Amino acid sequence: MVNVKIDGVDVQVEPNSTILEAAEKAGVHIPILCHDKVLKPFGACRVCLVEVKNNPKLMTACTTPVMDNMEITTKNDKLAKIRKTLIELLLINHPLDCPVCDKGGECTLQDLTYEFGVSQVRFDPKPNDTPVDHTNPFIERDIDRCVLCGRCVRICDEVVNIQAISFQNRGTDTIIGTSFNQPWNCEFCGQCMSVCPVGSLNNRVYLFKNRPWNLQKTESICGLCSCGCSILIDSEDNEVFRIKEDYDLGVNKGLLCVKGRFGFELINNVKREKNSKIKVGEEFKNISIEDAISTASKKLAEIKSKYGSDSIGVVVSSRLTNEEAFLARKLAKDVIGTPYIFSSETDDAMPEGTYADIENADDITVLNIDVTESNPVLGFFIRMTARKNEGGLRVFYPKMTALKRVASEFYTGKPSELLGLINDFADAVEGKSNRCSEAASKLLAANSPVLVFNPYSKADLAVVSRIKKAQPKVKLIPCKLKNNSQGIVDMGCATGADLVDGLGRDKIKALVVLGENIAVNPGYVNLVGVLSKLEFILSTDPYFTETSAISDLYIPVATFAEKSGTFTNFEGRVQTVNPAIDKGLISDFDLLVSLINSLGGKAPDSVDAAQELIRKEISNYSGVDFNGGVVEYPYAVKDVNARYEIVGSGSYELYRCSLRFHSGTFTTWSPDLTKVYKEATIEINPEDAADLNLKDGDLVTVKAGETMKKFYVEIEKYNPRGVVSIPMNYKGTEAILAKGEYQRVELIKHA
Amino acid sequence: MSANNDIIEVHICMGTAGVASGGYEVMDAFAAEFEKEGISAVLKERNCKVKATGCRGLCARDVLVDIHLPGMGPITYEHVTPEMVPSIVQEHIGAGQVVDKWAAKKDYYDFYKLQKRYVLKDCGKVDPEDIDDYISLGGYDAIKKVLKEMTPEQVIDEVKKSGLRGRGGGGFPTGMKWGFCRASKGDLKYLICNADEGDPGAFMDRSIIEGNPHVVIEGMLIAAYAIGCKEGYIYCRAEYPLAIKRVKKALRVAEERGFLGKNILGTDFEFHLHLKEGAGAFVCGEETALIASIEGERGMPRSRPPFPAVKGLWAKPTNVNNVETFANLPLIILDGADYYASMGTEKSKGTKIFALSGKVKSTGLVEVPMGITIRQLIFDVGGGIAKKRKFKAVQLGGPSGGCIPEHLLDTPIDYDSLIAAGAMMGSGGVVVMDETNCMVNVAHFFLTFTQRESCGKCIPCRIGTKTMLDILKRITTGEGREGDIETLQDLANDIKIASLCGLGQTAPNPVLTTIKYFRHEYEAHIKDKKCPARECSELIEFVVADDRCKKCGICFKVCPVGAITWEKGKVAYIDKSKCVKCRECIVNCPFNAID
Repeated sequence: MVNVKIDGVDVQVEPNSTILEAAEKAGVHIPILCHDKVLKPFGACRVCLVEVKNNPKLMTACTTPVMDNMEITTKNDKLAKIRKTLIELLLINHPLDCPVCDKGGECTLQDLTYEFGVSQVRFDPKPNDTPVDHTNPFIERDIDRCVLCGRCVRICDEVVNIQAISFQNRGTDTIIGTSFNQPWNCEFCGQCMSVCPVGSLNNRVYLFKNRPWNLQKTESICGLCSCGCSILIDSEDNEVFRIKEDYDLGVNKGLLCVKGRFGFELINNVKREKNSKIKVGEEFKNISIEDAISTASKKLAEIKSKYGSDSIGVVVSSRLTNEEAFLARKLAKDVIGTPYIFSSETDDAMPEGTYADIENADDITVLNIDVTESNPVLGFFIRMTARKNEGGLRVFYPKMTALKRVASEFYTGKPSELLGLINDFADAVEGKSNRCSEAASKLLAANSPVLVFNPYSKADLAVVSRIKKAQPKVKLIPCKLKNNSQGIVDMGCATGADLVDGLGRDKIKALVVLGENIAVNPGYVNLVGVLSKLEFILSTDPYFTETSAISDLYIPVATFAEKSGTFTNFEGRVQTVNPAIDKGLISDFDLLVSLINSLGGKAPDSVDAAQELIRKEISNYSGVDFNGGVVEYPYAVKDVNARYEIVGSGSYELYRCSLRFHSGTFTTWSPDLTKVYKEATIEINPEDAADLNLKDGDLVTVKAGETMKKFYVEIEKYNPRGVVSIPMNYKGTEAILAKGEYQRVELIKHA
Repeated sequence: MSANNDIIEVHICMGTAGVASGGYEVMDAFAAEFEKEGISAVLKERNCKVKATGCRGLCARDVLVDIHLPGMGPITYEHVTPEMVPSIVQEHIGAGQVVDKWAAKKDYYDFYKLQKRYVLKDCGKVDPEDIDDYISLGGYDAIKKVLKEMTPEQVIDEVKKSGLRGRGGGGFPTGMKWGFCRASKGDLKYLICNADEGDPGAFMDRSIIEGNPHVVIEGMLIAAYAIGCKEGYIYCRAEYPLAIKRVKKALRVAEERGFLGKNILGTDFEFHLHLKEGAGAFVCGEETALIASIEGERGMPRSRPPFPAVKGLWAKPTNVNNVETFANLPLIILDGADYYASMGTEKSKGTKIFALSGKVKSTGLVEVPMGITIRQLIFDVGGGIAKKRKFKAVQLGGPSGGCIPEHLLDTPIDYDSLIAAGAMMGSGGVVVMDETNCMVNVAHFFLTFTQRESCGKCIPCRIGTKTMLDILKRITTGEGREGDIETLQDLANDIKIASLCGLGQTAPNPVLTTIKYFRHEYEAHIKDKKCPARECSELIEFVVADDRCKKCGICFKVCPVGAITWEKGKVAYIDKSKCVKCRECIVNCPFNAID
């Protein structure tokens, strides 16, 4: 520790701290503009200049490391004068359109102008006047307001590792531009926007909708994938206006992805159903929620008494909270008494590695998943670590992904070749093969290796379990899909019971479908005919979905922004979800409480009470802090025996890819995400596209066996020749993907 | 080196100015003439060499050719053209008769009288593309001595003792800088030669590299050994194609000869040297921006600390020195620190190379011992002001330097005296101004350059210099306001204090010094809307003064738009409706008769 005196305040700090960090500790305010603590020191704006005793030059507090016995002055007339001049200079070109600027009220330039008392500018104003750029669907770029602090450029480089934006030109002509002034080649994560100190990068979903001082902030957890990101829900009058980050908060350390940041309009969407509906003949009729609940319990009781308790199945969505999933299992097992509780989750792989393990990893293997698409924030951490380590990242995937800039080894190729290579790698790790031995020996020699994989692929799991045995140090990170994919497993909703099997045996007469859109799930795609023969289907969902349409009773329920409870993320971390708004809709929790009670059970009367029960009944949750604690699991991966298989025949090899914009059907209710990705596309190599005379946006038919399905073409230069991909868990792809993970298909061009 | 008695040598200046003045044509003419006269066969017996040499300084008189005949001192011919070659060959080489009308006269030798050609001693003699020529002049002896006799610490001590200070402008003691980098932890350290000479009017580094590239390589070897660097870069601006060509060749040959690479001169000393071409940014002469540029990043300066000696290129300890600094090192090693320190003043040792340009008679590259006065540099070495005009000021230290007026001409040239006078050594650009130069316009000119070259990273440099430039612009166009001078001074001081790197910290200097020494010119522009030097065309009336006009008609002849009427024996008249304010009449009038 070193001793520093700042404005007369003595403080002890770590030796390599900056003056700014020391001042923070001493409680001394130093103004900043270009600095951001998540970024490397830059020292461009000069607003944080301070005086250091015995140093003739002024030093920037954000870049200068402290030395023992340093004496620092942060406020005097000389510094005040310079700071004032700096702001005056910025205000020459900065348009004073604060009244209509979205940043008004939370703008650093505005605050500094006020703080330094810049009431007039000595120099002639020359406000910038260039057209606003709307080429990015989520981020408005108004370079007139830009102060060139470079935060956006730096976060896109240092954290996101995409380098979609950069400085252009020099001197007064300097602007923040995109490569070759083309539309942003970017992941739309909005990190650049989150660090912009002025109104230069604006949230287009929020644009001109509210003023920041009207908004109420609710700390919660994002409900759109398994990353478990902390978010701030900014709302007013039961409407969500924006999702903000807090760099001091959560496992994500303030990072968000396009879904989490820009997808929130799915909460406000006017298409959300407000009324429960009951099917009368072929028509749905609105009924009150009370009537819906009593109808449901009456129907379920009837069927149970008529056909027995195992005639009812309960399907649980991975979007439900732990408490809801717990009650769902209670309803099925204890109240109805059926063994048929279904979900699309698996307990083959359990959480082991955490974000911290990624950050501390010296060797990362990403096996056959595009984690930057499936779990974007996890992807940021992998990229940051690989960048920091200058290597130690090995990726297996049919095509180059966004990890390509930081990966030290990237194995791509046709599935028919790549899958063999993955097997070789596993063999080599086990010491059975010399192929891939260099990569394997690196993994074996690593001290803190991490393996990131897709837990839904049996064949991948088999490889993972082999590697884990051969290198027990490796921490496994299963890329679970949804916000509570892990929690519903923990609550006992992944029993291994197979819905297809259950329905196929003709035993089940009624289904309670909680939030799952089974009609478009590739696993259940062949069930639609069977489902229509059931006597009773109750479905709940915030939206009236394809599944709702085939049910007999539909109850609209709350989204994650409207309810209490906990989610367990891919790390096994339990985190609390808080309601930000109330749309006047029942939550699955309250619905389940009513159903349990009306069917003769006894439900806990609150989320807190449910948590008490969870602690009692779910052993590995008993000692866990539900506000960020990590659950311990008895195993990381089961012994899975499966082989890679490419089914079907045809000239093209097809694999399933992930989508950054959507991890299922729920996010398609966001008009903003859907604007950018509306219909499933097929990604195809440019040369293959040329062979077939296809261009971006053309329709092409994929023929997999007897199944034919049309897709829009998206030319993807990184897809290898002869390889095509379509997204998993996305509407319209289920019929094809139901056939297998990898398949050979034919492409037929339309006239 | 003077010619060996048995050898005839023809040295042709092939620096950039020599080449631009037709050096290659002159060289071809010599070859053709030898062939034609059948002398070449004879000459070969007499062991004749036609040698392309680097710049020897007096670029104003290029193409310069030296003829070395056995038994005669070298004779220099000025302004040689291919047409002159037959006479020179026949009369001088053939018959031993100097062609007096073309041979250099006293004023040519006056140019060298006060100079101390020390670092440049081989420039103009050695063939820059021939390593053996360099070796024959004692080249690479210094690194041999260092590797054989000295420890790295001894080398650093010797350089410290010599008093050598960085020639790039800052004047930081070189030995001390090396000591810092040597003390930094790490196996991999980098050595960089800053050859990104960007000042307008400066060509010292260019002349050294073009004229004697191996001396820079040898200097770098000494530094690399002393500091412990295995890797090095020469960062040369791409606008110096000849320098780049010669460095490339020198690097290749030096490696072939075992002066670079592994096991240098049979020792386990290892040094790999690479060339990196700049991409046209003045700011990349700033060492942290230069480092960023080598890394492939945008050339923007970085905050210090950490200093490059601790965390430089690719975050490894890095030492950056300028071309001229490296060129001094072999001399210090061979002649000894004591000899070196005997030259110059108490705090500024050795010699300094200047690029003399502007309104001085003998423009070119000069090397003088530290401590001679500015007056000696301009009037004795440079031959005074051209066209019989009056001296007004001299800009020392390039665009970031300062303007020195006549009453400070006796200031000695050393790092500290120049700073005290408001200028700086800089890299060594000297631009001389005469009475026809408007000092507000001069300030505007230099600030235009620095403002355009600002990288845009920090606010004071990016917007501040532009704001100053706008104010200067309005002063020179008659829009100046009361208080502008004070605003300029105030803003200039803030920019100097607050800017991130040397570019911004020094960019206001020309404005501050011209205000300090020529405030009356600013006031004339602002209050009287007049430009006393008649350079700011917006403030010139373009009226012929009856009393001064001698009716010579020159203005009438030079006017490009026919705006002037004149008849023999009558005062000229300027039709303002036709005048385009090009100032040709003012520049050419011998009697200053146009207001």
